[in-house]
Amino acid sequence: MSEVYVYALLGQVPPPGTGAGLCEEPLRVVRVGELVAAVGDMTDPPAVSEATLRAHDAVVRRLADAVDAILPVRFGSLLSESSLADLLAARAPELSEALALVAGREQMTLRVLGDAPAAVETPRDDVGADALGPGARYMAARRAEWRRAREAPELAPLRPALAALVRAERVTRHDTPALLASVYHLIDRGGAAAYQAAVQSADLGTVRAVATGPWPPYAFAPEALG
Amino acid sequence: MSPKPLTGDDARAIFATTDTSLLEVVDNLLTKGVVLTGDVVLGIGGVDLIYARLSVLLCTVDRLLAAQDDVPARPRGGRRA
Repeated sequence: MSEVYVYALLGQVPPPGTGAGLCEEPLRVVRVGELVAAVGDMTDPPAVSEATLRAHDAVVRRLADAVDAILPVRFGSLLSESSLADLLAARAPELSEALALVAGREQMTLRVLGDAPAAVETPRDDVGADALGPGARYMAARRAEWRRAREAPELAPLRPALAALVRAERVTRHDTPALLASVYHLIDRGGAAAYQAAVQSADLGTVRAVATGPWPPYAFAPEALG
Repeated sequence: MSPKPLTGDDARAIFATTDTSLLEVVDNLLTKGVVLTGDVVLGIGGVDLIYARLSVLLCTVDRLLAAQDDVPARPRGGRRA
């Protein structure tokens, strides 16, 4: 049975002229309520290679240029059109919210490089932990761990310069030298040069930060088809 | 063989000398790692490297380079769910 390969969810139907898909198949849209999915008809999933990854990315970039809001879908998402419709319908509120967040915006990716992770500061709510029971101490430790996994304290000196540019942030900590963390920032379209200038002029001490982009907002797309 | 850990300067050199855009494309497209299981073989600068994520490449590039002889297969495609 024929299936559809999904490239992205869009905030609107793109104008004609967005080209073909990664297997040269014509692109078309599947509409479910207010959601629009950009798809191509395929029978087998594409093989993983540099060429197919780049081709998928090129399709997403063309779509991103053609619409105001895009949620890129990861490589290899092939499913029946009815399954796609069911998935989108089931998660419509969440996906609409995500589309609203990325509208008119794009992603910058910041790699935080260094020889050692930033020193862990004792969270303020751990003060007096001795007075807590073992369960509460466990929960406090879990909370601190959860919070730390989503923070990049190494970037503190950079924060003031980025504050006016960054609309949303996702952090993935690696904590294995030399890649300490990957920080994904959502910025207004057209703001990449100002963002790069801010990163390059910041003094982060022993840590280095390398920014790339702009990219379609891959890190801000929910796992719609997971 | 135990690879020596990369330093921050090593990592910066990787960004400066390899095709960063490809690294980022791999990270963007495969970051969730759910649909694709198994390793992905890609060529950078004429050298085949095995990696599934950018972070893996940056942290283990020495090991990957040393392990090239052990690479069992060329790109394995598609969904394995």
